[in-house]
Amino acid sequence: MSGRFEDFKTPGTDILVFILRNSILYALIFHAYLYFREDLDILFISVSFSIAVITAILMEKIRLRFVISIIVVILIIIIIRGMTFFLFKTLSPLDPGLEKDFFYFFFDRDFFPAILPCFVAWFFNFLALRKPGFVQFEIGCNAIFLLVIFYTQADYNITLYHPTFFGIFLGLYVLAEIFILLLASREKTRLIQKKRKGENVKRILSYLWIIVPLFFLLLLYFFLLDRYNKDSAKARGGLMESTMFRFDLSRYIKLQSEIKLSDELVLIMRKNGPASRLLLRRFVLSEYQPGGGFFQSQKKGIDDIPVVVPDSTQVLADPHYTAREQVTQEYFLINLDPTSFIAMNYPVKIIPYKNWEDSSFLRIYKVESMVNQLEIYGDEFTDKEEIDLPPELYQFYTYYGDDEPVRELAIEITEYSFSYLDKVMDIENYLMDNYLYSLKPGIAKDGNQLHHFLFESKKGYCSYFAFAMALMCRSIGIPARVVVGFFANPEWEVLNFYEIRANQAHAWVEVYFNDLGWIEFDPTSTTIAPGEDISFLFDFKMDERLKNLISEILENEDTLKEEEKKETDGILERIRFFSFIVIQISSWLLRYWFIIIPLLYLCIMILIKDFHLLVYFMAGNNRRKIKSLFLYSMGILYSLGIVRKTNESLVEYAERIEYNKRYHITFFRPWADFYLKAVFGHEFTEDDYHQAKQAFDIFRIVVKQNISPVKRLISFLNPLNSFKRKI
Amino acid sequence: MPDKSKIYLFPFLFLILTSCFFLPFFVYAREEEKDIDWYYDEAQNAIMDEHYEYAIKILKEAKIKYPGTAKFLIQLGDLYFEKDFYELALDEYLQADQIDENDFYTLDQIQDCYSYLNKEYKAIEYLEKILKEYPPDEYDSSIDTVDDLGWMYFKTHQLEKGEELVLNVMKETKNGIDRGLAMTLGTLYSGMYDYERSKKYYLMAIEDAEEDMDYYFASIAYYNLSLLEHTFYHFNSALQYTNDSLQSQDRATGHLSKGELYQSRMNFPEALREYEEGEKKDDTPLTKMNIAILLQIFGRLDEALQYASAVYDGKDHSWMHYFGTDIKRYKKEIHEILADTYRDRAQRELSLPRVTIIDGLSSFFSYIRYSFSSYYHRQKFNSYSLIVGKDYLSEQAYLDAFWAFYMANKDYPDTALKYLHKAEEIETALIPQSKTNYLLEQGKMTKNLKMLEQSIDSFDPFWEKEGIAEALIHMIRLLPHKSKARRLAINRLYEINPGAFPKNRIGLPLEVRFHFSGNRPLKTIILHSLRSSGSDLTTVNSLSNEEAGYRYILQIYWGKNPSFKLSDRQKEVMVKESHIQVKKGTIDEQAAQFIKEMLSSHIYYVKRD
Repeated sequence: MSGRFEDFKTPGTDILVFILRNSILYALIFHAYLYFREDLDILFISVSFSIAVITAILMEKIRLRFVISIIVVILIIIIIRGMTFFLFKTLSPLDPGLEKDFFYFFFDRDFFPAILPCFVAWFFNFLALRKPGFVQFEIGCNAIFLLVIFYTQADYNITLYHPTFFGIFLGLYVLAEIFILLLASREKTRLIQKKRKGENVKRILSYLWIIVPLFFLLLLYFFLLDRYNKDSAKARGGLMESTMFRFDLSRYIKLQSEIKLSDELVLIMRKNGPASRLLLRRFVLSEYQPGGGFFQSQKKGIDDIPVVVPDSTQVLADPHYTAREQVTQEYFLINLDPTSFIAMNYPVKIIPYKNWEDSSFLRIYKVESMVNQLEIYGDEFTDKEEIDLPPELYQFYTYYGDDEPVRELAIEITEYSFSYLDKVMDIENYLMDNYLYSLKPGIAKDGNQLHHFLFESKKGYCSYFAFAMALMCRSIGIPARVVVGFFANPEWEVLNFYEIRANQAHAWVEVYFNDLGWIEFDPTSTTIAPGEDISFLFDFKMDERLKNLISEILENEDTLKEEEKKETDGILERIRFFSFIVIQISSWLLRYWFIIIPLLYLCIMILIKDFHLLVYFMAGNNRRKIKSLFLYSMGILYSLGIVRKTNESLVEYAERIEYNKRYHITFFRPWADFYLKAVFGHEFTEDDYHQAKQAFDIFRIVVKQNISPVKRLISFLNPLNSFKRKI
Repeated sequence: MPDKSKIYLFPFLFLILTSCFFLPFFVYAREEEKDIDWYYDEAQNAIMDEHYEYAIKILKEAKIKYPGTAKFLIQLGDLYFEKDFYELALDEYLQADQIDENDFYTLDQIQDCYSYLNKEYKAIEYLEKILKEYPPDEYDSSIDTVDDLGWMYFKTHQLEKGEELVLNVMKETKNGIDRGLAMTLGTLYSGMYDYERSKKYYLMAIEDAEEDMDYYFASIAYYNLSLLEHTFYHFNSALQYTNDSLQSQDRATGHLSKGELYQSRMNFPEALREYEEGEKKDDTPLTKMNIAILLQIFGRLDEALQYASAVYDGKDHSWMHYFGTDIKRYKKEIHEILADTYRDRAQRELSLPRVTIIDGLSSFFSYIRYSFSSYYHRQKFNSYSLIVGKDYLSEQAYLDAFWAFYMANKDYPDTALKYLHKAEEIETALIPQSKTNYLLEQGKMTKNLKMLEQSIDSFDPFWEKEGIAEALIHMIRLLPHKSKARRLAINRLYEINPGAFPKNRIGLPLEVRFHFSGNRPLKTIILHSLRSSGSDLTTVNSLSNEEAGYRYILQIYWGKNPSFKLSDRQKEVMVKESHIQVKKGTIDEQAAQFIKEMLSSHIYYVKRD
């Protein structure tokens, strides 16, 4: 955009850029307004915005100095408010009453919040009109504003309006900004001239390789990233999320100050095989983040345990841990998400069944698990201190975020422990014996609920106990992870059937032992905190309903058939795999952005700057080769800021460079002559080609000798002028 | 001659045609098995078996098949209602009402849904409809409706309407006193600030409940009575009834009201204990709100923010069904708590010394952040105050309306004072003891020292220490710096609430004694840090210091384990003493660290015991 207001009158690019710029500014302000729409008046803000823009234009027209302009703007703001109040008081247009009394209140309620955005609107317009290069800076500022405004909307948390419209807005925003960037340069005003339509389209298309990836990158950030979501666990049900009448456990457990339990019937389980403990695993939460807690890891190779019931029989890898026996379980889901996969640690085979007609159950499947049969303190528990996990896995399962108070407590507890198992047991027993079970653990004054539980309130529900034990084990080098699922009381068995309710959702810990694999420990205290009534822990009644459900199963179980593998499985698998890859890449990008972004930038710069070199190597004939090399040379000069002026011929340009001592670049003129011969000459012999190449080499040496390495590096990384038309 | 081969076609065709003719009858006959009773029983069984999705599926099917039958709509509505899906339940009940108009049960469920959704006026509409169709003199079941309607009138400040309704029914009831109606009447009169009548009906309800050994009801009635006494400044009676409430049944609200009484006495440990006890039993956010307010008053601002944020983040408001508040008033209160807490938090950033430059920058940015948050919540509070005030005004609850308008306009003194005077005129006529509070408010708005002093003298020195503390804070701001009167006021405030100091940028006047020799730069830095936190200091050891207002002596010990002692020369006691761990750094940093820790964690920190 040109620097003088007169140029603004020129129809075409300048007006288009002005409109686009202010549309984007207004859109950003509007989105900020949406957060406060209950209290603010959009009309007031819109009018203020318009006044700000007009003020900027007028100030630029009269060529007011920058500092004086700012002072004038501040004075205008003060005067507007003062005059409004004065006029209102003296003229008193309203009748006595609430409206009159509250006038100042309503005015200030819109006035003060409007000051900042309108000042920014004025500021940006003033500078954009005054300085041509400011537009690029403004685009960067807009991007920052966008991130700030939408910071709370990330993590699939689009609440301002429907995500679809948000996606459309984002797409339009990116396109508009790129368009402004292209148009803002003076050279680009020619794009819109009617005479060169074909070339213009070609040039715009040549930028698609920037535009398209940018667009998808933005979509990726907001829609495809599966980041840790702190609000996913809801109060009702504690560990469980609910959708109407269906439940599932949450993959992200947050330690809450208070939870409520529901006693909805979730499923019925039938077990066949020996198991003293009935802990039914749903999710393994092995990844830990300080401040975030434990959550399900998305990393490949970590906890390769299915979370979704497959569509057909699936055999899982068996690590052949010792002291295990097969236990068969059948799950009859009632109010649980039908895709939820639950099993005892660890499953080796999953057999989904076809449901019978008019079944009371949403889903039925069978699981064969290899279940630990060891008594604690048995001889089989080895005392090997060195864990046989691969180093990276060991590091992963012992990461505890350097929580020193937790570590000190763990050391204190295990001070007299003799063996690896002893340490684990001592931590488990410490929590069971010294802490109380409560659904109202209370609010931590510093926000750290776990510390509040461990060191102050000493009461909490199962998640607290599990987090505490897992973290303490990790802090002293014992691999541990949190598991969420359900517990079933073995005493509540009816014909091997167990009813499972939402209030049986539970969290416990698995600790790794050599040869034995992941062994369960449950540190949750059974001593209820005084004043709380949690009778469900002890209540079970065999009622008519359970009888009916069991009867139905017994009557129909012979009709159960395994689900057959479907053709579409392959396609679904491929889609799932693709999604998984995308998520993995996104997570990786997020984690290492500080390396990736600079590297990406470097790659883009190499591609831009050396594009013509690439063409040179691929060119078929000598003329094209020389043309490519010359364009490459011009790219170097443009990066150094030596740009062709409007209506300056190539020869004039070359001579200007040659004879202007400020540039320190010689031998460009002869090199330009060779280029002209290659492009326009009647013949271009092999000799001509070699001489031209020599001229290019000399030019390169001159640039290397006369321009410092630092300056060359900066010019290489400088994207400005890269897209300007050279020939 | 016909083709013989085609003759065999005819029986085949006949069979097909017959089948086509009779097929619909077979299908229809099969569907006939699924009649209304079948759907109803099937759905009922599914619900009992907790197969909710199947039940919903059956009922939706039944609705389509039998569009003129209300029972499926009601059945589905009941299912949703049981699971607290009030919006969905309401849809079903409204549809049922269209089919089977004026069915008592349906209307009652509709009003209940509206009530849980905090749409009081819609609830009233249906309650009035029920009473019109089922007058209480003809239908006993309507007595409960009268009770509910009376309660809704109270919630919407239609007090006279409620009074008339309940009194009429009480006259007509032949079964003696209905304690539910008596309590509702008591509540309505309390809204009208009619102490005598309110108390009369509450006691009536209590007596009846105790006779029937309905201790749960009695507990609620005692609690309401205690609130009444508190409103009329009868603090001892309020405490007595609160204890009676807890004795009848240990409920959260009893602890809540007891905690409030301790809070007005500025007894932090007891108030906190009561609130925490109440929190164990409380399924509503009310106790957390009170804890947040208590912590904010006593300067434990980070904890206050934790509690206030936990309340603010809560989405379920159906608990208001049982309490005399509504969404707007609730939001007004929570925004006020947050505005005050953020404001105090911002002020505290400026009052405590900064250890390093980064610490200073961080404090500055925190100050900006908290100030913005405070501004946002203050604006929300003002908006809600206006809305609530308008609601009160529309129902002619003038006192509450004017008070709400006063609160909304505190940034505009002229308007605020206008409404303050209006509220004062009404309330002091009803409750003469409230005059002192108005004196305080006016003194604050007009920055009138004399009024503030008068209010301090008029407040009950035992029960109204909260008011005294607030008056002192404002007085201290107006008194000349380094004046004796100011020091005396600060000393008095320190006795009541040390936690008020950093958040109001007030410092305790101190006689400072250094118990280490030399190291003049360190002494200078310590004195500078203390002064910048607002303290008026003297280092002169003189007998006249006490008379001049330097009641407290701060003794500082420096060495490997720096420590301090704060003593009260008037009472001749050690107030606070402690060692303070100081990290390695320059002398400036160590001194600033020492002072910051000493002030924030000891001298100005209010402990729970």
